[in-house]
Amino acid sequence: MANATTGEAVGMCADRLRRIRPFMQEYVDRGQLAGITTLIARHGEVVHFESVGMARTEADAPMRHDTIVRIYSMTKPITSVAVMTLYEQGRVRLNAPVSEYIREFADLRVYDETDAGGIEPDRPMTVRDLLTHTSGLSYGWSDAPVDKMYQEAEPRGGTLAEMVCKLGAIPLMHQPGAVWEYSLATDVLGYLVQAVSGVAFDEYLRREIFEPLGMVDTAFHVPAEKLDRFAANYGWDNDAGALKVIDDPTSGKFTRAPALPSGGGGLVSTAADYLRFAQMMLNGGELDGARLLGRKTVEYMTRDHLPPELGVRFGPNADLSRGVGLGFAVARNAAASGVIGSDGAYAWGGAANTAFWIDPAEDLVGVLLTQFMPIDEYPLVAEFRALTYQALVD
Amino acid sequence: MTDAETCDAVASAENAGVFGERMRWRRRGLLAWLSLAVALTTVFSALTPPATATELASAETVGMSSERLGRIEPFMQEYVDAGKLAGITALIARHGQVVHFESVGMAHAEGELPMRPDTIVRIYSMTKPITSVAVMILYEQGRVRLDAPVSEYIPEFADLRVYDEDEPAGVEPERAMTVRDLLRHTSGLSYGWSGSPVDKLLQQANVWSGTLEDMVGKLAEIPLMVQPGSTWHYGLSTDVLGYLVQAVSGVPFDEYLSREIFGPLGMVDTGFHVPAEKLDRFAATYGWDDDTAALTVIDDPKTGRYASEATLLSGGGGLVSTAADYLRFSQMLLNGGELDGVRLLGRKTVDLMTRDHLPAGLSASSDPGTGFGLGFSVARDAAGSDDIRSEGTYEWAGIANTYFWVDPEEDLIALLLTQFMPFGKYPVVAEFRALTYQALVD
Repeated sequence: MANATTGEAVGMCADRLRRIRPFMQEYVDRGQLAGITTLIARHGEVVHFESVGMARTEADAPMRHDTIVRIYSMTKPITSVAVMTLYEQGRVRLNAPVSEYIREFADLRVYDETDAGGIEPDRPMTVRDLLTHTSGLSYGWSDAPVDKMYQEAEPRGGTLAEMVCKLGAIPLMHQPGAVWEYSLATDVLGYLVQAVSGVAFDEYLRREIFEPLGMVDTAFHVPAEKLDRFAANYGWDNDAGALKVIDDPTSGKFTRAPALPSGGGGLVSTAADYLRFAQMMLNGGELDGARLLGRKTVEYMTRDHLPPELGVRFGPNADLSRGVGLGFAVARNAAASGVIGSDGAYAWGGAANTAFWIDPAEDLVGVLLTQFMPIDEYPLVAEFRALTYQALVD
Repeated sequence: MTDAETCDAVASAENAGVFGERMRWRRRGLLAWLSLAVALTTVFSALTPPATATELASAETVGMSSERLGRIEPFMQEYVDAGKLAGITALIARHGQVVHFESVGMAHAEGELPMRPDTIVRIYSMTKPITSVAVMILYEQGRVRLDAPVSEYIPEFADLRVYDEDEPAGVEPERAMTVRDLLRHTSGLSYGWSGSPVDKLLQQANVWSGTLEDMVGKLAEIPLMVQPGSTWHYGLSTDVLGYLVQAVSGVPFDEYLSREIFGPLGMVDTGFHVPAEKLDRFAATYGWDDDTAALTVIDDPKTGRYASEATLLSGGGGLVSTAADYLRFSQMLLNGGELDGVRLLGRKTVDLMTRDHLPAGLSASSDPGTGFGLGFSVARDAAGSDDIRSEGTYEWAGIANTYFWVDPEEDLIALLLTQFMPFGKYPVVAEFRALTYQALVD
């Protein structure tokens, strides 16, 4: 993709873009985050790409443009693209019952507090339900009865095949299509890609997405020769009142290939790699001559697929300013969202406070990477969006 | 499957590479006679160039990828190789240029007749858009009004009743059935396919057995299934429109279509039967024989009912046609009523026909995103639909698994023709839609 250009060449103000780096540096100076990378591209040109702070303070490794980070749920858009490559070949239908591809899901039940065996689903779970997180599956994070069953079964304790086997036996939290519930749906889609293509999921992504797009540092683990570029993941030590390492890059789980390549959250990547993925989407499916998807497919993926009464929901109430497409949240009403942006912009984030968004109206991509948990401890993404959009002057 | 042991077994099976087994198995089973069929297709295609009206355009000149379009033929061939369908023709046109036109398999395996671009097929309900255009030609002449009571043109319908379970004679319609009701399937007429009381009356009356005039006479005596305008209900409405065309124009319905539509558009192979000299291009209709687990001929092209002239000229489902002919009809619509200098309809009339005419709350399928115009379904909400499509796309299908759609937003027409019943047994049109739209790269 294009080299860095001046802001003015693509309708952005270089002076205003220069507000970003010192703002991010303040997070580092206050000891709130170890390191941050921010990237903005417009009209296919990178106009801002800065790294501040440390990737791994303990090893004196600075945060750099090519630092490898855990992108967690930013894996989901990539898995969704993999599904759509099979859709485009006629090998997966969006409205087909998932059980057509995953036999283990043939006898799914739906949780009912008055019926220990669960009840019959009103309709079959479809592939589209998995792509939009309306499948009825859950993540198993809460104290709800279904989530407790997840915790006991440990669906992610083995391989993808074991996961779908276990999930097939746990009742759904909701009727398919009824509720937006963040979930293991995208992990299930990883298995579906494997089952339909006959190719191991990690291999499918490598062959069909990472290699064609030149995403050289994106994978389910960090090979030994790249470990010196891999950031630590930090949490907050309340006792010390300081950052602490919660996943060591040289000894943690990302140093070896996982038993379960998680389509919902398993990838590591870099700003440059994720930009290539995002720019492929913004270009309508193609980057530098490599076409992954047709233009109409990308348009379809980035439309709002939820009925108006449903929205992204992480608390008790759904955020109706955002619908969801096939693998992304899609802004319905940027004004109602409270954060500057454009209607139709699509986005997602990762649990270690990584975020990206793609704004077709402004022909703009933003990527923000840090490695810190929990998510949304700081209003960093909202601030970065403000700092990005204030630089538009055309 | 509830215990961890089963899942362990899954894990070891996965380690043994079982997850790939299904794919390999699917690719293996090529029946011997189908291999022969494939070989024959190749030979025949080479000897006899397809009778296409339009030279294939380079996909790239109209914003499509020829490499991606190349995915379609092998995909369709898999249906043939798997023994699921005998033959399939797929056609895509964009910006008025045919960019994909491929036939695979056999039109009549027993007659060693390969499926070819000029194979004649039963289009069944794809007759309905053509009949609807015929009605609109009369509309444009001021001879038919859309909101006029049908009884104005068909006096037999002056005393229609509506079924009521408490009232053996039926009840008075709340309002008169209009021509628009017939065009958008809100007339209250039914098809007679179910076990409901009205459908039983239709079966007993044997409405298909005589001429159009006989049919209308019988329908006048049977109560409507529902009140006019209240429900979208697929039924004999378009057959009644065929009679209406005949009654208003004073010309037999088949002759009207020939003179006003097929002749002007050059739809040389479209008619209510297949003349003897064209029978060698006429496909068989297949069904599925559960006992032999194989395709079985359910309508023989040489001896079936299409080999002789039809008594009932069914505007709802009686026509045979070809991909090239139906493309010409579709392109006329996409062009706003005109093709190659021949104008059948004005642009505003086509605009009107291809709008959604259903009131809010009604839809033409279980998908609330599907409305209905005057002769076609119309996509209201592309994201809510089964597949990728554009809002405003209009389309319909025939019961032997023939399909067409016209997408004005993308300036695109697609046709998929096979001859197999029952309808919808395979998701082939959803797959074809994906394979079509994925090739858009502009």
